[in-house]
Amino acid sequence: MTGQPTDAALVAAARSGSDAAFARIVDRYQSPVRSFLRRVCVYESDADDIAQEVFLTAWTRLRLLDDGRKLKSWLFGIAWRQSRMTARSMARSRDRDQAWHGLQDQTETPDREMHLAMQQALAQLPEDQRAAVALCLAGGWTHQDASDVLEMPLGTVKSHVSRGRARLMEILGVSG
Amino acid sequence: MTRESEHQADPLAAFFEAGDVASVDPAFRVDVMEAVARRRFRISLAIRAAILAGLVLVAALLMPVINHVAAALGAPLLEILVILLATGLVAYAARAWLQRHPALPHVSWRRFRIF
Repeated sequence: MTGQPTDAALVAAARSGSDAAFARIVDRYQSPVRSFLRRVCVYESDADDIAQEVFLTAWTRLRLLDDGRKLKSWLFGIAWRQSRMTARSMARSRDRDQAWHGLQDQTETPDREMHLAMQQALAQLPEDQRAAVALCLAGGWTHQDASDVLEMPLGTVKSHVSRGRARLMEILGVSG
Repeated sequence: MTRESEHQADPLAAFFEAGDVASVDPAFRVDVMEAVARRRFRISLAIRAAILAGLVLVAALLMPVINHVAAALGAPLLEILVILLATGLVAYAARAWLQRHPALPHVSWRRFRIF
């Protein structure tokens, strides 16, 4: 059988010094982590820098991860904390974000328009609500798992998701 | 549930999907692995510098004893001791060379290990 190695197996190999195993972890989780960060960060241009920092932090602290099967939620927990820290400290993001949007305007597509509309709508939500929405509505996480990652009570997550969803629909002018 | 019916069920799904990052970006992986290599090098350098500083400190503290032992041993035995020490240093350097890709550092101080 030639199945994909499990997270626990990759974590064990990376802990023993295998760069190849860690690169596979990066490949496996770069897309969801970067997507999450793009939704959570007000300035999207910071998201990939933070994502890189997330994986670097993960590499440094890999030995502190008790259970390799929890790798995904552990990575998202790091991403959430990192994005909060960065949001407080990165004033330079504003200029970079404007420059980035300037570049993107040249290659506008329907998908791009929808994405920008969603980014602008997300930016109007409070930080915690944005994170809950990004995990549960965009990422398909359960409320319980999101509550573990975001270190918030389950009820708070449910409330954030429900209110965030209603607010997004109102801002985007869609009805469901 | 198909993607189309999912969109009908959730009007926000298409908006979220438009912002999803494409599956695997090799450039991103390369950036991360380069950053990992840089951090590993710095950690390895810091550990070796700390060992060297420790050895120098221990040697300085033990200098009176070393002088006493050297005087007691006499020239021929002292040469043997120097050869043994030099061999040990060479062996340590060779081991460090062979382990140019060290395992992840133990960041927990309680479980701290050099190798």
